[in-house]
Amino acid sequence: METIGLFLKIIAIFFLLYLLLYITFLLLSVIVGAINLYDKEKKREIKNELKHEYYFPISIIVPAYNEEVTILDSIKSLLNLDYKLYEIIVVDDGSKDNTSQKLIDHYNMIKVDRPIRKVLKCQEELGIYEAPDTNVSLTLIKKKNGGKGDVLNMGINASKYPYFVCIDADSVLQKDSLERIAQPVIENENVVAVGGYIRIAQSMKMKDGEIENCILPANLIVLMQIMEYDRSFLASRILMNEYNGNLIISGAFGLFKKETVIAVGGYDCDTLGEDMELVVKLHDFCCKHKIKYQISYEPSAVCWSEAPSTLKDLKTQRVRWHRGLFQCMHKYREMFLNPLYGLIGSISYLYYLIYELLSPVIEIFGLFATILAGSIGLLNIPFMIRFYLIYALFGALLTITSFLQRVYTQNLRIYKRDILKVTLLCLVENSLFRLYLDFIRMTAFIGYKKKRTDWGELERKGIENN
Amino acid sequence: MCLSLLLFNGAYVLSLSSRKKSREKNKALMYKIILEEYENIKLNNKASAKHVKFILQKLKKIKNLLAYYEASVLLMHQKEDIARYFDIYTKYFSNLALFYENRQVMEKAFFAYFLASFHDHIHEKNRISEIMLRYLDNSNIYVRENVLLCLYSLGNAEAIIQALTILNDNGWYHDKRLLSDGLLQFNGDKIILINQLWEKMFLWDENFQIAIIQAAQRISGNFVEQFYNKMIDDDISVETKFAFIRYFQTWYYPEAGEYLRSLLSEENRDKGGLSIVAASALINYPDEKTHEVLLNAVLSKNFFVRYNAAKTLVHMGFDENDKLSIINTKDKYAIEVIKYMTEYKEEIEDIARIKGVTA
Repeated sequence: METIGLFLKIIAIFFLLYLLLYITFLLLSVIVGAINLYDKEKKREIKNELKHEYYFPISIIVPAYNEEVTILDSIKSLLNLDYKLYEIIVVDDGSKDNTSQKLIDHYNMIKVDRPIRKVLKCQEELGIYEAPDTNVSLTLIKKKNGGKGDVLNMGINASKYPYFVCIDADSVLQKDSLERIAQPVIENENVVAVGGYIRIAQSMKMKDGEIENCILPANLIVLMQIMEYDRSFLASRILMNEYNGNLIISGAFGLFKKETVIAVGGYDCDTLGEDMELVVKLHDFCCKHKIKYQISYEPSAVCWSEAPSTLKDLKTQRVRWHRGLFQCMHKYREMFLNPLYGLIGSISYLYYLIYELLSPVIEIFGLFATILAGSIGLLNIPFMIRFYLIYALFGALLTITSFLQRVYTQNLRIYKRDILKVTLLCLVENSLFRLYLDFIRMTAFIGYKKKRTDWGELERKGIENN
Repeated sequence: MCLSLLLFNGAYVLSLSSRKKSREKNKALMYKIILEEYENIKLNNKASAKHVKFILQKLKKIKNLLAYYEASVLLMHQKEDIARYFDIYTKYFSNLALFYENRQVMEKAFFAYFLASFHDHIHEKNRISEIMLRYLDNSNIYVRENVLLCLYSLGNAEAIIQALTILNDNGWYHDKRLLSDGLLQFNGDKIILINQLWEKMFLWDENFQIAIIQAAQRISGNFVEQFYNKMIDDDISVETKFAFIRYFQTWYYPEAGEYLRSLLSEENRDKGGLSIVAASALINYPDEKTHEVLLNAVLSKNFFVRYNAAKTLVHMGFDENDKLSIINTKDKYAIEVIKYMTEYKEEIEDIARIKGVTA
């Protein structure tokens, strides 16, 4: 009994530290995020920005797999961006639906024998089409199925310009997003990649291809994800950006310097987290070769992306993310506490290891330990309730704060009823939703060997239909 | 701490509409004040002590300066003869410039931007330029950009050279696209400016050299001789050479044409780098020699040389004999790229023709 008591005591101390460190990190993130966003907003107001009529040409790569529902909306929005010189390359990864045909018909595309320089490994192309009528160069490449990394490598091979942006086919860029994401490159010559702010499309209303309004949706699953995204994109990513420590640029919207991406060998085709893998690889490459570099995050560059709206789809997505995270952390394990990587190897890696990869195991184990302690009478129940309430309330406060921080990034109105909704639901998000995600992420490794490169399928409704 | 942050964010959200209203109100007030003073000038043709005091006191607050700027821009669009007002009052801006010199960088940057908007009315250009150069001490990239904008608009070439020297000596990066576009806004003789910059530019970083050449490309073909002599110099960087080659893509100079063709000679064409750009630049040198050089360049082992040479060749005119000569080489890659360039061009032309007929 004494041994069990000692064991539970050690677990209790571990958990106290675990939760305190997490909440401190979150608090720091929210503070740094608020200061940073407020400062940026003020700078913009008084012309402290590098406005330029013509920044640099960009290739937009749109990987598509069974995207017939969303592809036309997505391309329509991409053709109307406020940016002088860019091209769009849609790469169809062997879709089983009419993704390509929809594009060919809609834009009267012509089949061409365009030579592609294969500097990065990818599957063979089956056909290349070009649109003769669009103001912006639009290319469609149909290829054999090879996964997302493979598609993106094909897009890079076919791209004409020195910088490329990758965007998901179910996402919509705001009109000024390319301009915004280009600005960090103009400010600092060492920038090799810039991540954008991913917002959930179900909360946005579009009119004639332009964002008209932003209201929180009724769907609770989507709502919880909105809170989660805001906490990440308006707080922790900004904090990590302060020390060049972001390990991820979302695959939904990121800008990259082509030359550097080619130098590191492009996207990995055998991982589920190809977006994270590329960013970590860039850190690894630049640190090892002692190259001055910056991987930036630009919260004013907004991309609207469709989030899963059912528990089944959410599970599919999170299991994939978790497997991708595991593959990446495992592949670059030498970074962990390695002085060569500075704060990236310590703070960022440690954060992703403990609070992202291992958190489901730790938190669920904690839950069982609490139940065990309670059942053998070793639990100080009033203390535990008080502690948990303080933790949950604090976490909820931080969630509301980061939610409100969106006001600095957009000129969109925040409605009082939305603030009320978030206030009421943040406790649920912080405890129940998080716990649910822990459970589904725990299942990520069931059948891992068989499904380690399997993306799973999500149901798309399309931006206009949301 | 968290609570105060939450309250601050909450208050910020709630105050958004009132802040917007207050900003509009402030702008309307400034509009009214300027308009009243403008009427006064029409009557008395001189500055009033009250308005001078207003400029020197009220505009020390950034909020008021912003409102004044917005109201002024609006008035400049609405009333042509408002220039009389600004002609009289901009002389007091140098006092404000001294005040903002010691303010935080964000305000300094805005003041430099503010001044640039009134460049047509500023008489004390040298004094203002001197103050602007001092703004570069303890500056950030926004101050630097706005100071440069101000100097371009004042048309003071000497000050621009000094500013670029300061940037270079401190190792401050400034994007070449911003620099070259900025130079195009120079309010004076741009050819003289480029010639003055030319005297100094090889003492500076490659980034500045490229920016100046890029600006020159969009200004004039007057520099062909001096640019050519420098381009063939082996001591300059490859990136600067690229910029020179692009200059000669726009401005014709027979000697440059010879040099570009030499970059695509059999021993050079596979090297990539300069030959890639030369293959595009030769579009400005359409003659038999170029045609022949490009036909050979299509056989290059370098993808981009092949691609650009084929594109230029097709653009310049490519007949059946040329096609046959490429096919006879049995070079798979050359045939592929020529096929793409010719067929795509034909299809686009077909569509244009069909559209023309149906229209």
